[in-house]
Amino acid sequence: MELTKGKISTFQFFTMLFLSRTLTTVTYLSSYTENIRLSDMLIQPIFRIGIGIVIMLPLYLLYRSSTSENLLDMTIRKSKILARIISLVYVIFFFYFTVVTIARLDLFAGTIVFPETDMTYILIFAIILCCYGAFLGFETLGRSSVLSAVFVIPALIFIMLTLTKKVDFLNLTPIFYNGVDSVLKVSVDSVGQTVEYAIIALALPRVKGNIKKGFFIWLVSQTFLMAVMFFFACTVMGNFASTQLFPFHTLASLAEFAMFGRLDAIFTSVWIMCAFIKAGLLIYLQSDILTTYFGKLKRTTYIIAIGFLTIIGNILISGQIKRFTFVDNSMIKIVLTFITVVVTPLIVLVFRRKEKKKCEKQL
Amino acid sequence: MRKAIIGVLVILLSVFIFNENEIYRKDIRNRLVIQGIGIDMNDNGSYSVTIQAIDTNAQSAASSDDASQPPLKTFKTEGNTIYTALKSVTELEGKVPLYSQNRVIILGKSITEENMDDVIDFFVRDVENSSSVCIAAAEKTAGEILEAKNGDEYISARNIETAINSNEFDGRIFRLQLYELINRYNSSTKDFALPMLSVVEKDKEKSVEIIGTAVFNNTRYREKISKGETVFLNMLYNTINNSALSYDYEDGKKVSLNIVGAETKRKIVMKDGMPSFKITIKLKADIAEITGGVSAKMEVKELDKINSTGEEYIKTESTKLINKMYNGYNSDALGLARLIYINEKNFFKENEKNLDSVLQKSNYEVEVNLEIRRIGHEFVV
Amino acid sequence: MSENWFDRKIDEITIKDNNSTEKRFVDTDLQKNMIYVKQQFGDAFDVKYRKYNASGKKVYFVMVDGMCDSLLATEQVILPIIEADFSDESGDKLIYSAADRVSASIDKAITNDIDEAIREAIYGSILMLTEDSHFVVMFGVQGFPKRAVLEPSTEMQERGSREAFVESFKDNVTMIRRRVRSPVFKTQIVEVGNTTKTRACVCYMSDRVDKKMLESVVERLKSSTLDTVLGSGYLQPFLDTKYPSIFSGVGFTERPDVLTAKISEGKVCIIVDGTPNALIVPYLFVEHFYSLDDYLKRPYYATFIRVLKIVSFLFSVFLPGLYVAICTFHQEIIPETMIFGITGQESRTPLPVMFEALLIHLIYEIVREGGLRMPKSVGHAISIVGALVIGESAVTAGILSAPMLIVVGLTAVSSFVVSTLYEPVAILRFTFIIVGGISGLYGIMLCFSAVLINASAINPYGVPFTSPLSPTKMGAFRDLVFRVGWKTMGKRRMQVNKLEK
Repeated sequence: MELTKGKISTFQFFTMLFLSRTLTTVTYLSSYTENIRLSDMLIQPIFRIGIGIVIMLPLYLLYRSSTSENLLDMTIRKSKILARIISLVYVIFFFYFTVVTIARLDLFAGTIVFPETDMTYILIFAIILCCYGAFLGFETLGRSSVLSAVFVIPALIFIMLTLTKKVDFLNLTPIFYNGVDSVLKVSVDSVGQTVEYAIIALALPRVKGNIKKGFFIWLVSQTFLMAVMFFFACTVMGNFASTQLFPFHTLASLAEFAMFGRLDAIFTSVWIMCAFIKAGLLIYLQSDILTTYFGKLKRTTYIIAIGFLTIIGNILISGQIKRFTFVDNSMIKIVLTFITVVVTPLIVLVFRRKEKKKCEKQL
Repeated sequence: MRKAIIGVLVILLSVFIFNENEIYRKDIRNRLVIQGIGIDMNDNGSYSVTIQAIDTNAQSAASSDDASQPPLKTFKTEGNTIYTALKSVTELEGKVPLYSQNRVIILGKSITEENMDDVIDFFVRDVENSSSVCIAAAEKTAGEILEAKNGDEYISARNIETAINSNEFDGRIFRLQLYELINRYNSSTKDFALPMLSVVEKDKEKSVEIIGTAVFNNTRYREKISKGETVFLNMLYNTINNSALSYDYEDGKKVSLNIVGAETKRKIVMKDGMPSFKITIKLKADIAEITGGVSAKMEVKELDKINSTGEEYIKTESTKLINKMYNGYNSDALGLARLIYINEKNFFKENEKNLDSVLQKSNYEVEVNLEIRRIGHEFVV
Repeated sequence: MSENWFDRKIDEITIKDNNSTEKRFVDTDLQKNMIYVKQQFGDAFDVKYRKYNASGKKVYFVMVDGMCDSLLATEQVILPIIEADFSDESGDKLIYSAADRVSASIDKAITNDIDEAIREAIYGSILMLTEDSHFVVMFGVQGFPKRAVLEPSTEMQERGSREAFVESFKDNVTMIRRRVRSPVFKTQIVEVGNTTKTRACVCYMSDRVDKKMLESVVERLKSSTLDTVLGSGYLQPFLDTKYPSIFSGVGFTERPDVLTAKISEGKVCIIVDGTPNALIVPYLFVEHFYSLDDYLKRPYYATFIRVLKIVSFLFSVFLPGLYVAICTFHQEIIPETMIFGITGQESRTPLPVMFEALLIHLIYEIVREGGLRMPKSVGHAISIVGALVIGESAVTAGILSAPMLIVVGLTAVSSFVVSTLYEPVAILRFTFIIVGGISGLYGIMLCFSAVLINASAINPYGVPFTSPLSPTKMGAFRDLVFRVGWKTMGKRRMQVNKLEK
């Protein structure tokens, strides 16, 4: 029972990406920024925007040349083998991020919510539900992301508002205390964790509307969210933030409203909704690539296979902090992002330019 | 295919449901709801932990109308570490401790004087512990505080927490929550202050009172300042919201002010290579009481005198406290080193290791701006 | 292999349908016709056959006694015909003469299909057959007993009309006609149910309905493979989205004013004969929170009531599951003033919180279902027993805790605020209790995300179930949670075919 492929609006698409990026922001691990002072994390988003725009340039040029095709569609006309290789790269990239997303969720749940429980069954349950989301298709994911955003955004705003009375500017740290290098490094790490650029590379032809406007609003809004969250983490918790595995979760636990304290339950809800959308979208994209460029099997079969492999991958990582640290490695992410967002579009761009020149010569 | 998927889900669900150990263990009926934790160190180096918890057996037997003061019980356990000592309570009660409802952590003298480094990690590392739990220092032992009884009933940790949290209305109480403590702990100076608790006996009735504020230098307890001095500590630290303040303004006349709003700005400038701090305290207050008779009207001159005397008084006392802190106790509980860190990072980098002497040699200037808004049932002429 | 085994089982138990679709024409031999008719009806006591002599010609009248008005049949049909002069006419001429000149009945038809004539007789027509004729006249003299128009039993409104649909679809259509005095209101009859031949009337407004949607509805009704249709609910799955979901893209109402409002938005409504509940397609999720009173009252109050409904819905779905999750996994969320009460009460009960919640909700559903089915005379006894059993006694005996009772009480009351969603809410409630008890808030949110995405997948007739929230249609927001005044809202019509697909 496969749902038909259709286009979604820019609003739905970038809401999906916003939630996906929000998940990365809220699951920020303090280990990523051990060499950087907290206030520098307020500046780092600005560097991120710059780096993000620069690395998206090849994709932008590709998109300008053809708005109805993604780079795999462009490649397959030139060479089926090359298209399959590139699509495999993307599948591996998305699979890696799916495993990391679920692994982070497992680390969080296993540390905070179920510290003494074997997470296996819960992981299987979560992955099955994410596969279900993928099965329902791109349009459904788009629609549900808008509905999820109706919960997520007010929840985050509510948590921030309740924390305003605990802000202490004395907790700020001097900007660039350890130099600009460390801030740049963290910005590059942060860009490496942004799988959304690769999603944009593949999913743009399925989006209707003003994409440039949508992209910039998304870029600015998620940067703003990141900056605001780091601001509160820094000014409310100060050095305490660096002692917590998931500082934003601890930040939410400090939030109080009337007689209700510990609003981390709201935070957990936000987290899980975003994780569901992100994992569902990544599994869907993998199955879509495999169905389109490899064919042979039904999309459902690919989804089940990907789900099964994700379960295996996450069971191996679950409860093993060393393995998690090995897998959740910044360098792997940076390299993979660079390949999928910069290198492959550049290769396709070069091919297209050559093709264009050939056509012009023939004419 | 669909039947296979449904079958797998049903099996998974059954495994979950019949995995009753998890459901039973975490259920609220099987949890020991801890209200207060007190830590002391024994002579042999082991930790003695006093736990105050809700007595659910007595609670359930008692009338459900009486929910204001739940029945409590205490446990005393020992262990090589805080965690092993706390875990031992399971043997005594047969229930898993629930730390998330803990209201206060009390550190005995034996801990605050020597061994804070060894006890803090558990409360930060454990995920159940609330980051906003209040921390207090005991004048003698923490066990004494939590085991104190007024008649037949224990003095509840909840009441102690309420007393500490009343710093919102009473500037004589200093409050530090766990996350704030760790924030200070991990800063360059490792200096902070904690409310100090003691068991006070009056007319054969015991109560737990906050007797002042314990000042720490480099995580070690140095000295206690009085509740009166704590008002100025709160002013200088910008944590005062509402408080009472009284002083002499004329021979035989005392005035009591109700401070309704306060804002403290702290600035730093470098003078002759050394930091110079300027602290501006802005207060809004109402006159609550003037001793020496009742009058229907007050002259403007008198009001100005009250104002200026108050400013002078606050300035003097604040300056005294600053000197006491830096020159007497060698403690940066006021957090002024942070200003150097934020505003003069290069100077901070050079002098990070000898901040104590820098702060002793620095200049401190306190300016007070007291605005008396209302004077109650009295005219001003 | 297992599927084949399953199919084989179905073959064994299902009797194949042997309805022939061949037309059987009226024979010129009256005897043969009458034999055939009597064969079809068998020994049915309520089918009356009368032979009369009309100007020397044999004329047979056939009618189903309970379905026809005997006085009307006698005075309007039989008497004029037997008194008329047919000396110069016979056979087909006699038939046409009787139909056109003699009987003043406006509801009449002539057919050469004897099966059609038999069906019309069952619907309340009196048949007239004669010798040497290829035709049968059917005079409509319906007079079957029917219920008077009463107040709605489920959709109560403070300021709306007090009329509700009845079982006769003709009366129901009349109620709508009285509200839409315009020829744009159209109806189309579709017969459903191979045996019951139930009439379903498809209603719509021709100037605003989506033609494709209308065709799809009619097609789906015609292709419904049902033997008997005893209620509109039988047809619901055929009209609903093909995708399995806990929510339905088909709504229902028993109010003619609500139905009128729906068709004026471009929706299609199906009135099924024999049921006072009409079906509405497509039905969006947000419409469950609307009522006619919202549009009859001031906007600020209507907004308040809608917000209340949304909150009630959330309570009815999530409250028990959240309570179980918090008591089992997230005790830190419980405010300090409540921890004492909850801990003390829960420690007295023998069951874990999850099983306690399941038990009490099960008891509540039993009492509710019992109260629904019980005769009114003993209804009070049920409510007293329910209150005593579940309330006082269970808490005193230590079987259930007071906080759990408060939760179930609030949940029960909240679930009736949005009664059209009761079915999915009841199931979701149990699901969230189990999930909350097993995996806490984590599981509840995962499950909620799955439900959300499941609802987002429903796309009946190309209109997403979650519109106008998602896909977002800004114009529709003036009547979503907040309702603007009629002066603003009346400027543009809210039309289904304008919702983004």
